[in-house]
Amino acid sequence: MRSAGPSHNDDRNPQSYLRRGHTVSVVVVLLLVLMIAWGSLWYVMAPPRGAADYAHRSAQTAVTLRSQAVTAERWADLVEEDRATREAAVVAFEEAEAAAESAISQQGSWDPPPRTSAAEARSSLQTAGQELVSALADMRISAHRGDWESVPRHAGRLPALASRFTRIERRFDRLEREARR
Amino acid sequence: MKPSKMFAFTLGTLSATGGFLDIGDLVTDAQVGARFGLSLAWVTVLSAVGIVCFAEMAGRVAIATKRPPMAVARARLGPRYALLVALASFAVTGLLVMAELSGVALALEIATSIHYLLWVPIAALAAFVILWSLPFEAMERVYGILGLTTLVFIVAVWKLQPDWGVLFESATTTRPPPGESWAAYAFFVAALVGAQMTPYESDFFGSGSVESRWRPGDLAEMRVNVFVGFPLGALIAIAIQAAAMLVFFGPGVHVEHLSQTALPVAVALGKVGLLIAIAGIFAVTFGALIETLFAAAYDVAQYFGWSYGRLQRPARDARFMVLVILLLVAATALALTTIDPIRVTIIAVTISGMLLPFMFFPLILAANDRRTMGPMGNGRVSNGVGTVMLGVSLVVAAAAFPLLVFTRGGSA
Repeated sequence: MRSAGPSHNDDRNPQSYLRRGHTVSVVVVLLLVLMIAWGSLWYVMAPPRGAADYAHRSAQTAVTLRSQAVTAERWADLVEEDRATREAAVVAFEEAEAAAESAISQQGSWDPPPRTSAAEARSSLQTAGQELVSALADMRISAHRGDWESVPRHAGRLPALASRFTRIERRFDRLEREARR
Repeated sequence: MKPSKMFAFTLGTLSATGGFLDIGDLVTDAQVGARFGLSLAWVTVLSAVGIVCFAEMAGRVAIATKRPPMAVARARLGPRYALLVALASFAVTGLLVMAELSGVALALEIATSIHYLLWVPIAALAAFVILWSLPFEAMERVYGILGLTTLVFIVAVWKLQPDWGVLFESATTTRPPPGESWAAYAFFVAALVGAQMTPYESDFFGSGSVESRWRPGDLAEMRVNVFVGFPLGALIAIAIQAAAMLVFFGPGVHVEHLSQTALPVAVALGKVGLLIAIAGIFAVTFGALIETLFAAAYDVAQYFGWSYGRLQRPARDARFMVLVILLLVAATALALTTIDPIRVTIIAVTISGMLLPFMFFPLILAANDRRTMGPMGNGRVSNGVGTVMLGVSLVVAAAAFPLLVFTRGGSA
């Protein structure tokens, strides 16, 4: 004998419609969230789009490299003046070296825009960046070996490198302004 | 007032001071000071007003209703809303657990030069042992007193002999300095609000009031903790910004490492100052680790009605403790993937800013319910300030994620 009440599988049952509607809305919201997350990740991780974006992000790389140079130099000075612990300075040298390596590697992976002087600026940045990484590595190695007398000698290369990064940053800023015209 | 009562007041105030500061603050304040000077100090002041307002409200609601904030949210706005908020808060606070754990490990790395990943499991184990064996009051006393070491940032600013006129001018400027974009400025507004008005603070404060079985007679003590402790934390946060400005702003240095947060103190005060700053960083991040662990577990335990607490013996609230342990294990595992803890911190504080209105709205509703609150319901001042801060949090919540993406976490 058939049941007198409505069945859960009965398409005419309002509750069935509500349940399906609720499931659909949950799925749609989840898909929307996933699409936004994927889109955001793509935007953040993608290489520069266009000459202006390339110049802007390369300028940011120059700022990052200058920051590592100035910071490492400050720590080296503080240790020499006995105003900082060697342990903290070693950590600072390691962090600066790792950050510089990562920044220059990422910038190097971007293709410079064609028919601009960006390639020349890129070459300057890469060269200075490699020199910075080398100086920071020398500081790190000397510190690890306990050869603290050599650290100021290696740190002496940093002020000139910091000035170069400032000039390179300004060069990329000019390229960005030209590209946006 | 009896000396023991005065001592309790002082400790509670110190705990609130430490509660304002955590890894998100330490990182964001130094970044902001280096890039924007003190032009974002007004955000810290605004955030302090906000957290004072909502923490006081959460404490009052807890004293009047004898129920924690999440339970109140469930009663006011239904289980579905409360579940969504509980899950979102749990996820974000869980991320902050990882960030705080990494902060503890980074502080130990700066002190010892031993890689922070080696310290992560040790810090996690230490947190577990302390949670299991020490009474909560003892924990609060230790990291409350140790947190006083962060006052060294205020001393460092004074010792750096700044041009106070320049500092004042920077603090009264509400636009980005030359070379910085409005987008980056707006992003750091959102990041600072998220870092300094973290939902877990008022949640933890309210839940703590319930656990400590505070009575209406404890209202004065609660208010002293809030009205003195959080603003003191805000003052230290502004000192971190000022110290970073004095050392990094001129040379155009961007802050990316926790060691850079401590560098200005070394410049000003030498080795001793540096060691005190490292102790302060350790204290606030360890205290925040304990708080975020409990706050995340509270979100789940309060929603499902589990027995929980800091004051009970761990064996009496087994599910709560198991959840705390699982959180600690998950945070350790995530930290050991070598994901950049500073980047995770920036993302976590930004997302936490997005949750603020969803946590504060039920609190305002509950605090206005005369049936349950009685004479302890919101007055005009609480409602006025609370409504303004809710509006601010809505703007921050809407803008935080787009700014995070568009500015690539403030780097663009």
